[in-house]
Amino acid sequence: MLGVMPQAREEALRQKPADVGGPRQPMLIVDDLVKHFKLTGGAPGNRPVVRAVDGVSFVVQKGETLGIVGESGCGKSTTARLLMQLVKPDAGVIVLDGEAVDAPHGITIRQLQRAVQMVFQDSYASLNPRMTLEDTIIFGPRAAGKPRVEARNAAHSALRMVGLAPELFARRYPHELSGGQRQRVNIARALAMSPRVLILDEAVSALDKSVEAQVLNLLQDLKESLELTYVFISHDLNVVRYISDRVMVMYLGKVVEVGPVASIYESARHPYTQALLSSRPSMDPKQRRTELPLSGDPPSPISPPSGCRFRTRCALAEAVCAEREPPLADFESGHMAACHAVIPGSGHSLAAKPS
Amino acid sequence: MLETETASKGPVTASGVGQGRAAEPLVTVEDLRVRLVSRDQNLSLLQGVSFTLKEGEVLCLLGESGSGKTVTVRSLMRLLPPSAQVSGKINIGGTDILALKPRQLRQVRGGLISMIFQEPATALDPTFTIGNQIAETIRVHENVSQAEARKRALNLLEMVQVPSAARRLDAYPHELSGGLRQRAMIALALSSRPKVLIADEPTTALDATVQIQVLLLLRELQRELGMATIFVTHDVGVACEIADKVAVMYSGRFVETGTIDDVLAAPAHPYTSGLLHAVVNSEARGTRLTPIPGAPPDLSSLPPGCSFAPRCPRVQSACNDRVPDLVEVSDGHASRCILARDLSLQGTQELRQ
Repeated sequence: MLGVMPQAREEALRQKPADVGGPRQPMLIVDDLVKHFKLTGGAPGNRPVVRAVDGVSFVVQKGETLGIVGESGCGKSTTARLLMQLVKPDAGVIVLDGEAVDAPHGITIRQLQRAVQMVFQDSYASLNPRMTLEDTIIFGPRAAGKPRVEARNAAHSALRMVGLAPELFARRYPHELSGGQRQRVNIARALAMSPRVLILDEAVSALDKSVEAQVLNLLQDLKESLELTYVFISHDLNVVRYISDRVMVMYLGKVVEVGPVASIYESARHPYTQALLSSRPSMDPKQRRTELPLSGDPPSPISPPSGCRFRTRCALAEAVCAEREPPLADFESGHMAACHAVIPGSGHSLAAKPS
Repeated sequence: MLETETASKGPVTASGVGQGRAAEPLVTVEDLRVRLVSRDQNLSLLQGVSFTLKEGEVLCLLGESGSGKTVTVRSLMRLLPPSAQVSGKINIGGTDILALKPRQLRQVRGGLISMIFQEPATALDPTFTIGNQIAETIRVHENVSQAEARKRALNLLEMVQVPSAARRLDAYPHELSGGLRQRAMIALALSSRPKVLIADEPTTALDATVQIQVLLLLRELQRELGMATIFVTHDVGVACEIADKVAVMYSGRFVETGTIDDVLAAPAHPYTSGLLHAVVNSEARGTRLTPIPGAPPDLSSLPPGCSFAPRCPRVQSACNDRVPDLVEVSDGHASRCILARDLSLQGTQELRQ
């Protein structure tokens, strides 16, 4: 496999924006992010809203990979778009390395959008079919005000970093590449901006398994050598386990559980996380799944259930779950879950009594 | 070459399916070849695919995009574009599929052999209710009244476990969630009691929690109705959940065939073992993944020998001479590799350790 070439790496590290807040300052702090999409139809002033993201808070440390998992419609992609300010949040604060975004004394949205880059799922749709790869990659640095020659050098070194020789690939068009190569170009385009954070929204989901492994290895290499921070969104729980340091589980616009990868996968506390984990195929034809971990589909985010949003599909649901929304309670070493059944003193029959 | 096809030999040992030794195969495919010829391309999509399938068996076609899985099942339904040149033999329940006239095809599709597609949102007609679509299909195949067809449609929706089925009968596809839409499409496919069901990546577009629901449902229906099923997937995990037999495809050929247990326990083709190693599993964390280097071959210029040779870690000069035969390594387990016997032996030894 083509690793990251040392010369390209040095170049990239030189371009890297300075660390502002020091190593202990989290790279990203997200507090109470809200996005409700208004639907068309209905009387004005009384239009139904989709509660896509409804009060999401989390922290990403420097050099960490945060995995975000959940079913479709849980708000994971909207969260990613809010982080990039591709969609304007209704409420909430984003702090990048100690500097609030779009706030007095903070950084501007444009500054955020340079420091945070995104790679999307559909490698073909995210490239302009009429532009050569070089022109595609140069576009960002040029828009950020880099002189043409410098931008071109940045593009070539980015291509080298993802294992595509610029001599062979710079003048090609997206349709001339395979899916795996195209996704490498998308990563190179993100890297050409010398970002500090990469948001990977289902970036390997559309790739074949043998190619997926190549791209995952590349992402690991790049993270290490360029000191990047990743937000990795995927529905594939095995891939998330492989790449993430911490994992956040979302359900209907809320965070239901977050914690270190080992503790989430080995001792999940929220019944939804447990159900998600046992929905994975067994990978052993002698021990096939026979029990349904979860029945039905997620309810509509237009009128989510009262109290705990998972209660309509939850085997442990009790009266208290409909009455009050469970808070995200801290258990041990940063493992948090929002479920009445595990929060002591919540009034749920399975919860420990307060001492 | 055909004699070595696992499918044509003996009863299937896995889980007691395949109704005994005497059962005639329901589906026989011999040397199926498909070329796509147009002014500016000449692609060889399938290069001699042969298999047989008995009643009640589930065959899983496993492979990456471009390996020919979908082309294989679409030829069984005669759903390929007119520019495709198809040769070989396809016999399903005594019917020579490739000789059918368009009129006869209408009866065979849905009646004898039926298909579930990957995207229920595009496969269902958005302008008709679910109930109408199922009832219409029933009335095309059988001479029943509108009311009777609607009753049957309701029964079908209940069979595929759609909650409050009576209400959903009058729902349009866009009013249903992805999981329910896929159930509706399964009901549609089963509406005329086909003998062979083809499922082309039916769970790929679904969430994990819904995927396992649909897999369990398909397994249950398949057992109850005793259909022969051909299941196309790129996901080894899905194959493990549903397959009796598996055929691993690479650039238009079967490269390994056998029961799912045998193939997973002791893969006898370097591509299969490469694929199994590339799958990210729970033990992979903290290690480097071992991907298969390179990319699948260009179908317009395939190498003369083994088409996996350019990516194969165990390639020898003999690999490039000619396409290897599918050789049997153990009862019902075959591989298209000159090292097949060594690889299989190695796999078995690793298993014992």
